[in-house]
Amino acid sequence: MSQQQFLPETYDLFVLGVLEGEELEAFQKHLAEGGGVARAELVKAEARVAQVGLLAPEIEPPAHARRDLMQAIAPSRPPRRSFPALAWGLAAAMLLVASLASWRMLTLQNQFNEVQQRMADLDQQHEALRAETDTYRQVLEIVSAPGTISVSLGAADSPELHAYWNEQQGLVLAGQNMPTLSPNRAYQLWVIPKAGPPQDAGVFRPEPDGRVLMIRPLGLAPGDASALAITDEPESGSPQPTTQPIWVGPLG
Amino acid sequence: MLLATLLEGTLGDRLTDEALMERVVQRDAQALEQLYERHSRTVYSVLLRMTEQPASADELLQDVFLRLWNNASSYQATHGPLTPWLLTLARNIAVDRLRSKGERQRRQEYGMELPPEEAKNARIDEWVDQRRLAAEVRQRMARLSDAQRQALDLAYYKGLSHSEIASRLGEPLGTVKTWIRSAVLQLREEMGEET
Repeated sequence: MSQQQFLPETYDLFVLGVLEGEELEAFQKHLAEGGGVARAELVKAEARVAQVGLLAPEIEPPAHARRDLMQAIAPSRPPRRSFPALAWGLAAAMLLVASLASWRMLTLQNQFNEVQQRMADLDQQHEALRAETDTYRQVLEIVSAPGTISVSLGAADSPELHAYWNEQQGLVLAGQNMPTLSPNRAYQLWVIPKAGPPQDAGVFRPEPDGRVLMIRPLGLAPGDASALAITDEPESGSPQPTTQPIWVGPLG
Repeated sequence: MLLATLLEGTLGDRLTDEALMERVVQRDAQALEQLYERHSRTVYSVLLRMTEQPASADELLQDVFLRLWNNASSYQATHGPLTPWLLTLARNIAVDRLRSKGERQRRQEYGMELPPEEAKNARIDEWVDQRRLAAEVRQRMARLSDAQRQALDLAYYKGLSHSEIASRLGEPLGTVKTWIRSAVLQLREEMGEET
């Protein structure tokens, strides 16, 4: 098929894209065989047809289109290290801050625990002092109460042991320099009545420094007793004395 | 004269498109940006008219200028000015898209929406020559009959063939061929000296 078989406007129709079927195939073959002349005509046809595009109302493309294009043609770069480095730095800083915060919290917690412990100790001390105060007040009340009798137990070279007995308020046993007891043993105070078996008046273990202060209510009047005695007994005490009295204080 | 203006490609004291294309071949991004500044509105307008979807027109616009960037060496200034080359490239890309199944589905999904009227001609184009050229083409197209213009629009903007246009318009194939051929001849006649 020669070039003369196509009308000149066929170039425009081809560029416009309306040719189809055998007509299209024939023109494509013509172009392939037409060499430079055909290509030059095709370029001119493209310029003419392109003008139809100028009929479209001009509309501004969105602003992001330019940015997207310029980003798309930007040379590809290896992953930037600044951000990861910054991220790692930030993470390290956060870790440091977290560690410091944890350490500080732990320190504060320890201090808080210490303060709490000290407060507990102080409470305990306060409670102990209050109990001790109550004890001494009670001792004072018994000792100074009318009708209270004083009983000394033991000899001059024995521990200093005194008992103060009031029929209504009870008995106070006070002493110092008492010998240390064997493990699982305790001292037991007995009231020896004028008639009948000894009556339990309390089990006690002296303080490590040998002191003792014990208050016990008694259901017996001093006038019905002949003496007070202390024996060495098992830690839980005995219903009746199991050993010979170590210290004895006769009444009246 | 009109084509002579196109072929001349002179833009006063500014660099010509051909000079900028030479720089684009050397991977000058600023040259590409200048070409985008000059031609993006025209190309985008055609793409929007063809796809009838701003999102698709955005994608295709980037595609056109990326191909320009990557294939700048294939553009031969001696064969013609840049504007028709660029519009031909844009139209070919858009026609391929229109003919793809995916695009038909997208058009069905998104509807046939056009941008609001106020978006058109949103700013005064500083490229006076381009505007003058467009005005001249519009005057020329105004001499076509409504049927010729409609058939030409379907061919250019929708990428339809003779038989597809005939089917779309419900007109005999021969009639459509005559309309389009006469429209093309009128274009050639207007630019007869150059062609």
